Amino acid sequence: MRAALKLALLPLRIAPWAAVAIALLIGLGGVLSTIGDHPAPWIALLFAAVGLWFLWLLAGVGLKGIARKETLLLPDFTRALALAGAAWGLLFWLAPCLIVAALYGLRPAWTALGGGAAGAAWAILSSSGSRSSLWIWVLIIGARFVPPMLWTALEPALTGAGLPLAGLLLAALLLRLTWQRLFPAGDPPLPESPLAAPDPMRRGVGNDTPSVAHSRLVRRLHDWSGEGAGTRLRRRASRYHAAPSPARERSLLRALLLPHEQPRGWLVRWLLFGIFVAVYALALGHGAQLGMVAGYATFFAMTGLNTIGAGMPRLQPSLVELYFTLAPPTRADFKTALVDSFLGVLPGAILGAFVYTLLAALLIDPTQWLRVLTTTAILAPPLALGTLALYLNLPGNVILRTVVTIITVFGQMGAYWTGYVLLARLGPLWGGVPTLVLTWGFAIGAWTTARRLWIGNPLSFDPPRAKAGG
Amino acid sequence: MGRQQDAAPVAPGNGAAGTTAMSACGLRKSFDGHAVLQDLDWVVPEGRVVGLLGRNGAGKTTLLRCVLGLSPLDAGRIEVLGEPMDEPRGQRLHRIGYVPQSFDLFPWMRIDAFLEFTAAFYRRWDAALVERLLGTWQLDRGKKIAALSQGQRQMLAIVRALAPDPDLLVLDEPVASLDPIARRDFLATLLPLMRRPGKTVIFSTHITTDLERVDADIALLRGGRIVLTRALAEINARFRRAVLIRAQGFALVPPLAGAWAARIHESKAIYVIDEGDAALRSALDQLAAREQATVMLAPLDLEDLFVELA
Repeated sequence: MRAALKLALLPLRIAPWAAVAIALLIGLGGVLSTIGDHPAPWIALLFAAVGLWFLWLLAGVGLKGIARKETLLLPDFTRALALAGAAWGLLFWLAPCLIVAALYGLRPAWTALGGGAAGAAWAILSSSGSRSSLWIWVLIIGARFVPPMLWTALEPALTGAGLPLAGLLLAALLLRLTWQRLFPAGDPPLPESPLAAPDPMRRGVGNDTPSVAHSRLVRRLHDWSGEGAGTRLRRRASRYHAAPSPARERSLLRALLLPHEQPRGWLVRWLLFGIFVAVYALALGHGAQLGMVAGYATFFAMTGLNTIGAGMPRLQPSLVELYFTLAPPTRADFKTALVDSFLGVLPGAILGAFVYTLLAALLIDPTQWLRVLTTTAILAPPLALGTLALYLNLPGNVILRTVVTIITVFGQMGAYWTGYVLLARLGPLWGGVPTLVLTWGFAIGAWTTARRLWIGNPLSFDPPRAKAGG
Repeated sequence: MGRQQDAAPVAPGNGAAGTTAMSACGLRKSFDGHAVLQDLDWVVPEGRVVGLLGRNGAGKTTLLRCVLGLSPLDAGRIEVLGEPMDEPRGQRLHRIGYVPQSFDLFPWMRIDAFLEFTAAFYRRWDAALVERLLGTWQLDRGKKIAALSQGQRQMLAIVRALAPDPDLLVLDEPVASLDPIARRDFLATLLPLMRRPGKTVIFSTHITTDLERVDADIALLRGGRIVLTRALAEINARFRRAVLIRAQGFALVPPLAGAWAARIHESKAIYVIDEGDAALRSALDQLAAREQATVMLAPLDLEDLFVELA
């Protein structure tokens, strides 16, 4: 019973601030629903639904944190987990449905039961790191292209009392999928370089979790990219050995630390990310504001840059070996060599911005492809450098890190959109040149400051949170 | 009770007389207010194989990392290969081989790519030795480091550390994960390489038989200090377990000045003594006479000594 209680409280303990925010969200809904002459209970319901969905997201995060095969060896773990799950279900699924039943009757409660179950299961699947949860977007977008005749045929089923039952079945299926994802039958995937971010699900705020299992196709793509990385490393090692020079050393270091920053790695990334950009562009359709969509596509191209700041702590144990190998005259030289090698992520990010923005332009408004590419040519290089600078010294505190990341992301998208509008309204000379000067000015200033700060910070060879040795 | 420190230096071996490979003076290091190293002094002469012994948590890894400049000191001074272990370091690092306790490096790399990368930086790189060891230890060059077992990773770390023919080799529990065959193999490989003039090995381990096999000098870390530094032969020749026995037994251990350790076991008073210490031997005889006890001396092997002193 104690174990079940611990498990039930785990999601709230790992992110208490998120739990408080969710409680506030639900409470705010309650307050809003009472304001005015005609209280609007649906506002409270909406807020409650969103709050509950976030709670189930937290549950997924908690589950992911303990998802090790060794956990299954704990006595009665599955029973305790089932009990904790039952408690959560009772509090955050059945109880709200009972409230709906009391307020609105049985039919809406039955709908809430099915919809709530599917929503909760989807939330758990999403936060457990599975890419499968993204299929819902394909369904939503696909719904746009369903012929009206089919909708008419489907209407009785969609409005009938059996739909919530389908929701319940879907929930069972999603929970099974989550379990398989968290406790896969095979061996876990081998780790990547902490500074590499080869696929979309590994990117994000503070994502320092181990690799999630890949599909066979994605594995093959990564292997193909890995072969390219190995070849490049060997070629650069032999070149350096033949005639050592600082430039060749930096180039070799880049090949070691950033294995996916080479043509094969780029192609794999563009393919995986391109799907997301294409889905997003198709979802918005032809009426969308192209500047904003291209800004979003640029954000996709730049997301990998945050792995430099987030991945460095996990690279620290390997730095010992690198330190002895490079034999730098001073620690500052060592840090300088490292920080300059990080610039190797820029070509991939910039080229990625060209690929994704062009893709967005072709899917939304093909006539604007040249303007989009011009905007990208002006903005992608300074945006990439500025983003790398902002991510380089990411604070350890997860809230501060999230704030920096959000500011950076919105800064990127906003800058792109503004640049696009300026170019469209004022032309390449009066719109483009000031944009170029401003963004490069910011990027160079930010990079110089961030680089100096990074080099000045003390060098640690210890793994994150490691203290005394034996 | 027992001694706090024994500053007796080990006689220089193959190196030039009086040359030190490493010296540490007044080292202090704390973690979160807990002192791990406390005014530690230690001299390692050139040309020796030195075994660093100490209990779990005694600070062996911390000491070795401080020696190599990987962990900042709170106080103290370190010299390695004749120069202070502060900046600039440069090529001196290439004269040092280091096998860390846990080999976490570059798990995403394949063995061949890792070795080729490393070799590119070294002027001295014994490719034949690498080939031989990879073959002997059956390390598949195409395998990713993350896919290796802990023992195989340790083998790879040893291959990598030996390949540049280092003048100072620092091994932090290098054989802990190796099977007995690989361990013997490693020692058989290490010895001829490191017995050459000017080569020094600092070897942290719990496996005392390995230190006996390589005839290492011993340095014992206890309470944040090196409390004993002796050649193994000297330890074998001089250190004894002295047992005081009398009819009524002992409830408390009578004090014996100069004893290395003292305890009561089955009503017998047991001491660890340095038989070569004439004053101590005389004090022991006087104590036995005073307590009307008989003295029995028994030899101590290294493991017994470690258990008694650590």
